[in-house]
Order: sequence, then structure tokens, then C-alpha cells
Amino acid sequence: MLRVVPQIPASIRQGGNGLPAGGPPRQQLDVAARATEASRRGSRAGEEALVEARAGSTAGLAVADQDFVLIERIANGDKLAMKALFARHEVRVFRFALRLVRREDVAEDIVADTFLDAWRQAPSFERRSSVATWLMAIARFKALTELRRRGEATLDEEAAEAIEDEADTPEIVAQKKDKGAVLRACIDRLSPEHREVIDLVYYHERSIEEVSRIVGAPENTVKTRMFHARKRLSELARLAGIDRGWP
Amino acid sequence: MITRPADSDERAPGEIEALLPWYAAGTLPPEQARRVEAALDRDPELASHLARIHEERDASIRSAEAFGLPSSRTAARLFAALDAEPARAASVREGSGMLRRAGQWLAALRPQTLALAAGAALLLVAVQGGFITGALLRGGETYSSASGGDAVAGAYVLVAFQPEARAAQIGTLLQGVSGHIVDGPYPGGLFKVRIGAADMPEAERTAVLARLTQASDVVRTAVPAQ
Repeated sequence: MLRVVPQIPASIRQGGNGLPAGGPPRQQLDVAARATEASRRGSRAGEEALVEARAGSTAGLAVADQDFVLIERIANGDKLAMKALFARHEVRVFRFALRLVRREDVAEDIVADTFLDAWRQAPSFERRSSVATWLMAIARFKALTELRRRGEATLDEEAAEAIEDEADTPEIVAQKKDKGAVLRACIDRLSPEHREVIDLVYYHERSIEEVSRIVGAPENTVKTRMFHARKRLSELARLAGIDRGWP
Repeated sequence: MITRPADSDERAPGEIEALLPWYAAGTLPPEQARRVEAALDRDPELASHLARIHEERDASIRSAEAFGLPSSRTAARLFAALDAEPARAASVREGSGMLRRAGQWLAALRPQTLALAAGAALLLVAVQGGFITGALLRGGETYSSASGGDAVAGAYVLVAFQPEARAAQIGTLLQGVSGHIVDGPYPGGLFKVRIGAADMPEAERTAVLARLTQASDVVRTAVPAQ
């Protein structure tokens, strides 16, 4: 992974870390490296870092405002704005869809269909959520439709473990004593519902409210679902030989 | 306080315990974050639990990053579908105030400010400084809205560059196709690139587009501009 550490002008450093209040920023990353890494993630933190870097001051355009402007123009038939919105959110939507459907070709089709839906529905977008949340909700619907078509929508972990894939099983990875790799392998073996919420909270950095909107469940249900997803993740890790000391 | 759970799978999380994943991700509202921080100060076991959550978060992020990027097929399919969509009745297409302000800010930046060696986002700013500011200052052109008409007739493409692309790579590629960035970035990272005169034969336009698309280490998306 390319990481360049430049001499960052004070005007940019004083723009703040760009992260929402409440959580500790990712450690050991300066502004530019965080922008590099997180922007490639297509995450909100990365987008904010991009805006911060380009603006060079705290007066930079807010990410959500940029998206709302684009939607407004798309609603008026601006296909160029549509392409800009696509460039902005393509990676995020792709990785979210891929987490659910686990096939790149299918995820790519979902991405294209999601943005086509966004083009058609833009005139009725009411700003009740961020554009990113809206796009992910559309993509989720299409991904679940695909999973239902394949008969995998309610796949539980036991059945998931029976599916052959090319990646190392958690047990094999554990033998290599790489806890991080074990956890990654175990995430892939969670049910679609559990790996979706893990993905939305940790990678896509969606708030409780946003996750609630995307998955269509009350906020308390979202919190409980995340708890059980994490619990199941630890159980899978234990089965793979990694004792995390919880639950 | 975290207690060893009962054997029941139905144990609900404690209030603070339930918030920890969002606290770790930095997405809690400030008031909730303060409550979590106060609880963390009181309960060392909660802090240990937070450490496990950070492990999960790192694993989740690395797992997602390993997915890579979608292929150009996605853009091609979407743009073809958009072309097939019926024209939407539009209100007056004036440049949005926000886009115009973004353009004015960009034009006002000194080249030195723009020329920042950096990671992905800041390299793009450096490219802007090298290829856009000069054009803006030279021709007296102002930033035009995303849907505004072109001030100069010509053959144009829209290009989004790879986050890892260095300024030198972008410059070399554009030089190779006689391309010049004339506008952008639009919110979302697309740049409008002039590749020739308005009467440029279609075959030549297609060839330039193919050359840009094939430079996948530099170019993420390249499509004809409308």
C-alpha cells in the first residue's frame, strides 16, 4: 500500500482530523496517509479527509452537501452530475454489495443497477438520509434479491461453513498464528445479516441511525444485532483456535 | 460493566457495551460518546472489551480493502444505460451556488498551495495545480458548472484517476494523448479532458479513450463527455 508522508501546510493540519466526534481517530496516521488509505476505502472518513485536503481550511465543502448538490442536479436531468456521483460512491457500494453476494461480477451488476435506480429516483429523494445511506439501502435491496434468488438469503453460519471457497479456512489460518487473518476469515463465514452489520459499522462507518435506515430495522434491533454478530464472530474465532476472552 | 455472560444466547448487551462498536468507529453523537468515555474511565474491563472491538474493526477494514476495486465494466454498463434513458424535463440548468463557490476557491489558490506532495487526495490537488490553474489563469476562463456548456468547442472525455496515481504518471499519460484538463474536479473526482478539436474523427476519439482506459494503473474511469 502506497503511503506518502508529505510536509503538510499548517493551514491543512489546522482543519482538524475530519472525523466525527466521539471516537478515537485511527492511530499512527497523519492527515495525508489517512486520506490515502481511507479514500481508497471509499469511507466517510476518507471523503472528509479528501474535502479537508482540497479545501485547505475548515471552510471546505461538507461531504453531505456535495452529495445533495449532485442529487439536485441529477433530479434536473444532469447526467454529468450522475457520473460524478457514481465516481464518488462506486467503490463504497461495490464493496458493500460484494460483502453480501460474494461474487465480483454480481456485485458490479448491482452497482450499475443501484446507480441507475438512483438516476430514476433522484427527483423523489427527500434528504431524510445521506445520499450514501440511500445508495447503500438500494444496493442492499438488490443484493438480498440476488441472495434470495440463489436461496442464500437466510444462510446460517453452519451452512456457510459447508460452502467451499478458495480462501483458507479459519482453522488453517489459525495454524499460521495470524489472529487478524483468522478474524477476517471468520467475518466471511458469518451469516449475511451479521456480516452486513459488521461491515456497515466498522468499514462503512455508518451511525446507528444510518444502519437502521439501510437495513430497515429499529435502532435497538441494530444494536442487538451488532452485539450478536460480534459474539458469533468470537465464537467462530474460538472454534478456529483463537480465544479472544469474550464472550 | 462487562460480566461473564450467562450461557443463554439471548443475553442482550448492556447499554454502554452496545455502543462500543460505534464509539470505536467514531460515529457516536457527542453526548453518547461522552457517556461511553465516562464508563471507560470507570471500568477497566470495558476498556479491554474496546480493545477487542478495535481488533475486529481492523480485520473488517482489511477484509473490505482486500476486495479491490470494481472493473471498468461497471461504469460502461451504467453509462450505456444512462444514455438509453429518456431525457428528463429539467428546470433552468444554472450552476449551483455551491459548485460555483468550489470553482472560485480552486481558481483563487496559488500554484504553490496546490503543489502538495501527498497521498491520494493531495496528489490529485497537485495535478490540479499543474494542469488546471494554468489553463484558468491563461484563458481567463472561470469554472463552469457541471452542466454548463463548453466555452471552447472540442472533443472531450471525462476521466477519474486512480487514487494511487502520481502526478508525473498523469502528466505523462495526458501528454501522450495530447490531452489537457480543462475543468474539474467535479464533486466525485471527475475531470474534463480536452483531447482534440471539435471535428476530431470518431475513430481517433475512440482510440484515445481506449488508450486512457488501458492505462488502468493511472485511470480508473474514462468515458466520452456529453
